[in-house]
Amino acid sequence: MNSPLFLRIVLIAVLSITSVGGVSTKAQAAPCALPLPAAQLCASIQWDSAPSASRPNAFTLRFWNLESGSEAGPYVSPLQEPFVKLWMPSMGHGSRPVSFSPARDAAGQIIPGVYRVEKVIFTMRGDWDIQIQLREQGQVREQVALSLYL
Amino acid sequence: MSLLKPTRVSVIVLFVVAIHLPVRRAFAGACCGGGLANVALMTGDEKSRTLMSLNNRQALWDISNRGEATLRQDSGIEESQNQLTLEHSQLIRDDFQWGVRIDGSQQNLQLSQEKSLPRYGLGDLRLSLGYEFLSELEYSWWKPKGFLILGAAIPLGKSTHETWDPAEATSEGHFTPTFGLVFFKANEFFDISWATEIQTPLEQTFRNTTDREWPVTTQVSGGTITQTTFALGHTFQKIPVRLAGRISPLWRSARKIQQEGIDSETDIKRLTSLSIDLNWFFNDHQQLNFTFTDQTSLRNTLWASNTALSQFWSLAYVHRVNR
Repeated sequence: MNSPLFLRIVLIAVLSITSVGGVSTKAQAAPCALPLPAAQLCASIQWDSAPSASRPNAFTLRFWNLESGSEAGPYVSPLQEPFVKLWMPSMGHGSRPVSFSPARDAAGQIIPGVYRVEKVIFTMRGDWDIQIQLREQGQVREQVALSLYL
Repeated sequence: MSLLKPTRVSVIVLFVVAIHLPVRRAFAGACCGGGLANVALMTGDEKSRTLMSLNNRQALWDISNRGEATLRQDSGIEESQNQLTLEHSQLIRDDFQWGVRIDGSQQNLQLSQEKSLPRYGLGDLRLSLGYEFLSELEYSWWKPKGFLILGAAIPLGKSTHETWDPAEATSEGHFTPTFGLVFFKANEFFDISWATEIQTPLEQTFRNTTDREWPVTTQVSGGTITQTTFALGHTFQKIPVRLAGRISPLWRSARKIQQEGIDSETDIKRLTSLSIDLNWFFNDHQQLNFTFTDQTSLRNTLWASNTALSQFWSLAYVHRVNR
């Protein structure tokens, strides 16, 4: 008598766990390391070479829709003005402004949602935040930071 | 022969004998200056003192907040500073004195092969008021002179929160009240001093307008800076020279920073300076000071964290008017 009841409880528990798991995987959202939820965007950084304090660095910044896109695309331009700032939290100072421009394809056309970030100069070794900001009317509307230790 | 052999015991005996000797002259002009934010104290018989110094600083090491040391040469970062300092102290009463100091700097910075032009700027205007609460009215072999110092630093140059070019930042940027306590004891051959100073930079809002299209506002809490200097000096008998050594540990508390509405907090900063002073007395009124300060020797995690470490050279001409 007890054994089938026990099996039934176990079966229900297993089904419940599976169904919960099913809900969580149902969205199939691509993993996002740098989310900007208010703008429904995700950002990614691709370094030209490993970041270093001993030379100027450069990377490609991409934005895609948090729900429907992925790191492979399609890329979308943010509605607000994107910006990149370097900040050293432990020291309480930043670095010089980076060079920030829309990326272009071989034909010279602007690629939507993709930006080239150059002259990324870390003025000393230590902890750095690469702050990816969305700005509007002189205000930072949303920000996400990638932390590095050089 | 064995009596002439210098042993640790004989050195201690000589030191004890020396500090029992009556005071002949206190070379106070050399005391308690370098490294502290306050204007150097007059601890001897001076009525006034004027100082002009040329200083050079080379930043050599970066110490991260994890205590890891990096030679700047390996990072391609070169930073140097030449500074001219003018300082004047004046006795108001037998037990009160005031002082003023101002400096101007030329700074050079090379970041990752990108050399910037030298930048010039004023540092901070420093004012101080000293009160001698422990006077040496009668001979005592042990009783030191004691001073209380109240000071203020008024920023005249740009700080790192007001420009994107670090070479252009010649000031801390904060209005800073300072409080100091100094004990000083001298005899014919030796002098010893202990100075502790607490700086309390006030919270301040800075505006960086380097980029006119995008000015940045930063609100910075000043935190607290504490520095203690212990110095030991020896005045030679046959030549008018004083040689002294100093050790100065510095501690700066964490600061809260809000930039464009985003909060962050710095880590604690620590460093320790070692200095050698050589004072050459031309006469009772004039002297030349040469100082070498090194922050790089004590760069392990016990002594330094979250800071850049430098070496300094300083040459100063001092003119004193005695009472």
